[in-house]
Amino acid sequence: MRWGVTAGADYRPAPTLAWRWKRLVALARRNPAGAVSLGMILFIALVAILAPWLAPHDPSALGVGPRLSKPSLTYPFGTDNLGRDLLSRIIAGTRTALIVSSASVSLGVLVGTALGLVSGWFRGLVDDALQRLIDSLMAIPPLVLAMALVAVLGPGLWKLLLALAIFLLPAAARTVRGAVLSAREEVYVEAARAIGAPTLRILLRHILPNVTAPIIIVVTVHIGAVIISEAALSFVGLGIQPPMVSWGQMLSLARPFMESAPWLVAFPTGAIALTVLAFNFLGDALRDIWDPRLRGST
Amino acid sequence: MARFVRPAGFVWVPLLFLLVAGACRPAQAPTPTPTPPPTPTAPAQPAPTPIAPTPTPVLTLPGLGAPTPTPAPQATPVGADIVPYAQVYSANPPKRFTEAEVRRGGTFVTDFSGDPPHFDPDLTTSYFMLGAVGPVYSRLLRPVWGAMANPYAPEIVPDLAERWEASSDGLTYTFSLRKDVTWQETPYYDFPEVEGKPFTCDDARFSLERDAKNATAFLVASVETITCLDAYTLRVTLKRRDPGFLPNLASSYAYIIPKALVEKVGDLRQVALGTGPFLLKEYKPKTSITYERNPKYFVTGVPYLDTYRIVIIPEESTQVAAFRAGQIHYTGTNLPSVVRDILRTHPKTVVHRFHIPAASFHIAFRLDKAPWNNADVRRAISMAINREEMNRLVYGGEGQTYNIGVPWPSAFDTLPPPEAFGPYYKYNPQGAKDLLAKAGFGAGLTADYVYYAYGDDRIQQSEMIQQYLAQIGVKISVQRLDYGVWTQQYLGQQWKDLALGFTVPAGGMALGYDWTYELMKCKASKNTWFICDPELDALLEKTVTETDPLKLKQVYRQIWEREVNQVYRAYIAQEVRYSLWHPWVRNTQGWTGYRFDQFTYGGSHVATVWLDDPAKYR
Amino acid sequence: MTAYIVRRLLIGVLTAFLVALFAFGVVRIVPGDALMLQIAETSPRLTPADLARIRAEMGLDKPFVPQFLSWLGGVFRGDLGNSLWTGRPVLKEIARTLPLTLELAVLGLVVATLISLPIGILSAVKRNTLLDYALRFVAILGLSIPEFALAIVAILVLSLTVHWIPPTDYRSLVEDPLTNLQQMLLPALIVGFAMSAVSMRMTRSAMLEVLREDYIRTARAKGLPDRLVIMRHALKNAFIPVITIIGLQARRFMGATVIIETIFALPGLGRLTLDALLNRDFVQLQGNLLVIALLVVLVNLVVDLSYGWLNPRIRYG
Repeated sequence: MRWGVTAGADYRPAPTLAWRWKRLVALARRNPAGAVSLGMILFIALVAILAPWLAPHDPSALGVGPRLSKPSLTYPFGTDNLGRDLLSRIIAGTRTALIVSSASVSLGVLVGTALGLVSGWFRGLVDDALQRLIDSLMAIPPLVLAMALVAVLGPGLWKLLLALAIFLLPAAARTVRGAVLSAREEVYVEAARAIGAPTLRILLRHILPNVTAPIIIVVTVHIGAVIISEAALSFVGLGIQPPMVSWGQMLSLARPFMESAPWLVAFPTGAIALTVLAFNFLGDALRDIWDPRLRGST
Repeated sequence: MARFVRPAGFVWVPLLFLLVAGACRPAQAPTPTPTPPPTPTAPAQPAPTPIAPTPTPVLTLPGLGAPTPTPAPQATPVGADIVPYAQVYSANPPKRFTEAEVRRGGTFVTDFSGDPPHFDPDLTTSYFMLGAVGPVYSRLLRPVWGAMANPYAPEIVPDLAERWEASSDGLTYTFSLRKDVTWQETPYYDFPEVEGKPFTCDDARFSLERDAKNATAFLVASVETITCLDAYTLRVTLKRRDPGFLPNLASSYAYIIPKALVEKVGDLRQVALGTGPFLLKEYKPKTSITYERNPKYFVTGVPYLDTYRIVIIPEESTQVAAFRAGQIHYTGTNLPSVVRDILRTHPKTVVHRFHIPAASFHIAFRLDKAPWNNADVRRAISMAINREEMNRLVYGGEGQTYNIGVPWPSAFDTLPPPEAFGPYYKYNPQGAKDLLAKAGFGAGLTADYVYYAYGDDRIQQSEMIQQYLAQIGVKISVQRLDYGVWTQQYLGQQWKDLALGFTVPAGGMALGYDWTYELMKCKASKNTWFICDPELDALLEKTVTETDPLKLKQVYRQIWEREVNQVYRAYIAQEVRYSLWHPWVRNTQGWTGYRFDQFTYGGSHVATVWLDDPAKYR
Repeated sequence: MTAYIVRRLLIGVLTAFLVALFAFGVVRIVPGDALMLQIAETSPRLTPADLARIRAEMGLDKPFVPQFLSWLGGVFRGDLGNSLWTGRPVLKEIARTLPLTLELAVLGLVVATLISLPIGILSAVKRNTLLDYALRFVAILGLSIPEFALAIVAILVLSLTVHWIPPTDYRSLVEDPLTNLQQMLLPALIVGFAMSAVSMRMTRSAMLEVLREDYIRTARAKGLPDRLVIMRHALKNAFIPVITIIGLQARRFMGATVIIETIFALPGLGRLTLDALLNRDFVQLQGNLLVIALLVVLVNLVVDLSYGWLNPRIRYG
């Protein structure tokens, strides 16, 4: 695992599988919260992948059970006002949550990293221009920007993904730029430049691996933010639209029933909270592990 | 008096018993049991009921007990907490009261979910604007509101016009105006050229002429000339007979505004000064609108209140909480479960349940384009919709299952039974498939479907429609639009295949004419659907010329039958509206139906509301 | 120092200009606009010719650049135009709603700091203990529950248990301080709780870093009690990141207000923005975006400058 900020310092001879495993176990022992949240995330991912097989009912099928029935053995999470099985809908929502967050985060990281690499490597005027652009993007609250974009473009999955990608873009670009600025002064990069290696090659082979760690931290934190933001967008009617199911949408449509059928609010809220918590704790754990300044502290 | 949905006698006799038993039942402990699934027969089967108001409560809302019966008249009542055309559920039996019992003063607070864009009654037909200016202005005529008002056959009474007469050909109307009316004098404005000055025919003429140039032009569409014979006599001549003319003048779009003020300030966007019962005291955007009693209101004795306030609360769950906390006296909903939640903690709340005489929401087709110009395709779509299930799932079985855009009272004496809607409103997926095959679409059909989420129920209905249509091989791609694009596409007639349409009546009232002539006639101003049917046009012309009420009813019956046979619009199950009141708010009947019967949009009926001592109701 | 401030100010102005351009562009890629909305409400059957005429009257038929320049010219004259929806001056609407949002921001920040500072310090000192996890769990929970869910449940619970909710008819701090505080407390708690996670995380890592510094080790080695060391030395330095988050959180907070103000029926800038957005009132919307962005830029500038005041070792280059 070559996660160190400076590849040279952390370099070890070709790590074996056994070494990797031992390292992982050691990390987990040192950081049980991180391990638990990683396990949680793997579980969520598994649910998302196996959703069609796990869900006891079709999540959109009407009148599967009586409407607004309490959690019971037949309907572990109860049913909603259209008689749909809530457990199946939560499971379907897991899939949506992961698809939406990973797609928008990937998009944001891709564009953000590219901007950051260019900005940090070329510096000068390009850097200045890009930085001002990112400054202005960072000056608008991401939620407001996403709402404005979706409101303007109209509700729809792709438009939503685009709007949510904006959440991450400035943070990714900033992080990458910082890492590039420091990595660019490293001896091995200087050397590569001296022998006339093409810029793209240097960027991809020598600089990019150095920014992976900070990017992953940014990503873990932002996945949570994206899920929360989708819920906020759903609240104003701009989130995921039926027949696609999302936690935020379920929560938003459950508002009138929160008193007579509190489980309609509790389960989506729980699903959102658990997922966001898991990603946040994982992010914190990774930060603890990778940030050398914190290493070795008591 | 409720005349909509009525179980057979063997049901309501035990209900009356329940009512007696339930009237003094103590508040139930909170038991959050889910609603039991209604039995298949639960969607109420309407049965013939006479139109004449007879005090017979006929329907229960599960969990609410039976509605409270209307008490017999007593000596010289000035009003009553009775809403004969809605069901009333209340632990405090509605009472008639005399002038002496009225408790004057106090602040009455209701909610709005949004702000009026401005206060000019002619520049938009926005619901919030109409509600906000209503207490300030008067009209020439108004419909009767109060205990005996019939929303289906509104009786028109004087407001600013003392009396009026129509020529025998129905083309000339002469109005004699009140001579004792002055424009409001308020400490909140400084317009000496208007305040306290008498209202004259000039103002009335100016108002109608201004209507013609603005958003309210439909009110005076048939008008040819408007003249003042003297300071207090207005004459209007029409180009053609227009059964909608007087009802339009009585609707809450037709406010009379002060000519001198408009001439001074240009438009009335930022000022409201009329002849109505309340003075606009303060408007705090996104917060509240406060009105104060107009001591010089031309109707003596009212308003009873000192202050009326509308608090603007966008979120519905906050509205409910504010109602519970006593911050607002009124709130509305279309979800029976919310009503039940409130009754559990506030069992003395007065509930008015109000049916809509004509339906609004329907699947709209592009009738000018294939395949939607084929009646069999439309019939198939309509037959694929399980309206009973939709009512049961979306509205807990307490909404309206069958209803179309022609107000039933104009065509029927009693609420029409499901059979009156013909074979194409019956859920019949196999029949739908057969019809599609007959039309040449046996292999299926794909279509676009657009909607605007007027409420959560529209989102869920759209989802259901998608599933129902998939069952007969019609795949629709559902797209939710935001309001701007929606109005552009729907009212601008630019949607592609299907839309979750709504019907906007041409005038202000639930009259047959308002819902049909300008809406269904070929190329008429409000015909959004491209309906163009010579047979229908001939019938619609008859509604203008026919003066015999019985024959008129037969014409509307034919229009009804044409509509359900051709399925120009496939109406779906829709909500019933509930108004909720704290019990000490008295004489509120003018409000009920407030969202759908647009003649109560305005709100000058606030004048007769009064607040009793809350201690009496605890 | 002066040169730095001037440079930062210039950058801030440039950023604001870009934001303005951006805001102006975003709302113009739409097919429908507030104009359409109002027209649809008033007379749905306008012909394309009517529309073109109205657009021309409003200057909406001109190309993008002249339109933008004329709007920008207005901005410099302090005129952001009139709302398409209400017809009132955009700047006046903003001036009316801004104080509420600023008040909410200050109260929210106080709440966030009150939650995050002790939790951050404790969880750094007791790193990787059960207490650390429990405290962090609580703080991050604020970030993990959608604010609107928290808000509507809080209102419901209050209305059911104590039969009281924050008064919905808003009164400003000047008008009626007591009512105002009743109205602002719950929203501030919710916003503060949501914001506390990030602050807590910053405080914690700052504390962790500081605790490793030589002077802390020295102080500890001298035998000073831990509590004293933390109070005297560590805390002061940990304040820098706390200030930093104010800058970072400013924009997140502005996002949160959109929803919180709507639920609590507060007439603030967030709700003004949401309404403008849903009504396609793009003149109002671009004005709001510009003012919000300027605020965020300003807050960050102040934060940057305050570093030097807090820690004289930081030099501005």
